[in-house]
Amino acid sequence: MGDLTIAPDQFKARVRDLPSLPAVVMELIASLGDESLSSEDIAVKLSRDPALSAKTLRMANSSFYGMTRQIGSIPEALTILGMRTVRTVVVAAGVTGSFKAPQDIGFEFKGFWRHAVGAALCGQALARELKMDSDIGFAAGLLHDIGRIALACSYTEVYGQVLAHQRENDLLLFEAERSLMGMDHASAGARIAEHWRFSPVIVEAIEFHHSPEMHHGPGLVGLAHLADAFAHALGLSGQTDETVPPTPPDIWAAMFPGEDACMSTFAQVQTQFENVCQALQV
Amino acid sequence: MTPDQTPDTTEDLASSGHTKEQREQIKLQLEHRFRHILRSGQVSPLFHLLLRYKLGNCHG
Repeated sequence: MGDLTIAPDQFKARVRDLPSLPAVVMELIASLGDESLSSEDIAVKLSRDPALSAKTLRMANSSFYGMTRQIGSIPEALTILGMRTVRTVVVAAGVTGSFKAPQDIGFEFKGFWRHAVGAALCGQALARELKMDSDIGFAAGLLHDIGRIALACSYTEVYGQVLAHQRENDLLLFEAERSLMGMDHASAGARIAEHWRFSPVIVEAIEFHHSPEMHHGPGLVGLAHLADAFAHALGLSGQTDETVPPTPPDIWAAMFPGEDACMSTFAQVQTQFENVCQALQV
Repeated sequence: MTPDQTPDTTEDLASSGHTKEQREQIKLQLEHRFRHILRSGQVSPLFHLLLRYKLGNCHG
């Protein structure tokens, strides 16, 4: 096996060649937490992307939102569900449709997206329990592993060797990545998130989700870490070798929402999960 | 719950309605999923919470 190390500069250059997210999705991710965004603005921008609008409506009409009647248009979705919810739905619909499956390297494309959706639901539920912004919690969960698919798409052959190394030695993924590439999917994801101009809190959540103790405070980083751990613990990717990353004790102590809240999160996520996956076609 | 505390699963083991074999299968499945943490000797409150959840529900 030759030298598979990826230099940071080399990776930054390669990031520019990755598929771009739809413009409206990037704008909405950048606007997370900003309440001044207008519904009209979202409707006008979405009207230029019929495929994304259709996927957004399918998700809005899924049993996840429990609508008693069909929502037929984006303006109607904005009126009934509200701007914040529609923003979350558009982000989920846009991100999950933006990458092609890497071929022949053992990358579980479906499992990847199912884990991302599971972490998004865990992030949303945990954020509610912890009195944090549940839309940002959803986005942080959905996007925390974006570096995995970016590495698999941009360094396909190298990443295939990383995945084989992980399987053969039963390592955690970030351990295999660091040992062969000298970087991991968390730092790769953060560089992509910067390139796509995501809000700084989302960039930090992606960058430190496997090393929350390296960050100055738990906050959204701790939430992304827990959402990832909960989703793996529930086995939502469907992969038989799924493994739960360790949580540093001080992060658990700082973020633990209580036993009842954990039980409620497990139950909520398991109830919602298949419906949301079906709506997002993952 | 602090990191060194774990929920008591005794009650769930007795009342879940699962057979002994089903409980054992659930436990083995979760131990496999948490193998890196358990192998390192760390205590995982999440493991114990999920075990209790799985044993107390029929989701498997």
